[in-house]
Amino acid sequence: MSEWRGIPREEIPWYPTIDEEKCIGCRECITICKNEVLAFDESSQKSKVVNPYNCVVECRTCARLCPAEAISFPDAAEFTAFIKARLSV
Amino acid sequence: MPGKKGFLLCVCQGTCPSFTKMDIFGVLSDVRREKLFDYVCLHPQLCVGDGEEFLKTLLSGGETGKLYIAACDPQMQCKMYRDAFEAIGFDKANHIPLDIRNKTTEEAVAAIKQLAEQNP
Repeated sequence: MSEWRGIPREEIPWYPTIDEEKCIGCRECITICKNEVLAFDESSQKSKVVNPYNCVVECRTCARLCPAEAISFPDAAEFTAFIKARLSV
Repeated sequence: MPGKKGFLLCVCQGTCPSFTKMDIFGVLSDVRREKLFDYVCLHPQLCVGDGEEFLKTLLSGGETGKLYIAACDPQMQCKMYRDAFEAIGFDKANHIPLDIRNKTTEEAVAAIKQLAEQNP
């Protein structure tokens, strides 16, 4: 996804962050996301973000379904303010 | 089965690559034309706050007997809609899920028709 509503995707800080301490390596997030945002790190036996900008802006499904609550996204209010500012430019 | 048959299309905001092979409104029009359901509607993102409120509001009157949802993986749907269904006492057995990700318009409509026929 090269751009989102005219904004270069790399300029939009939206992608998952994985807390490695919480991650239990169940790979649920990798199964859920069809956009190859995440991959399994054999060395750490944890999920990791490999293609952050493949993530669909404002999609939180992986975080919603992570059984260990190890995935987080930007704060909704802050991100809303960021997007409003960028869309009004 | 008493109650109406409702059909709901959810397409992860329409920006997720999983739903860009289909013409979303083409799918809706074709499904409506088949007269398979009592009502047909679209929500951009059922799995987020206002999506749950939509489900609760839609189902709270008890008029809907079965809700057919074409969206992402059925297991994902069951997990993500569970709270909304429980909150208003909608039996999850009456949620008929279908995964239409990465389908063309024609493939999606054919799968929805089959879903309706196999789950009368």
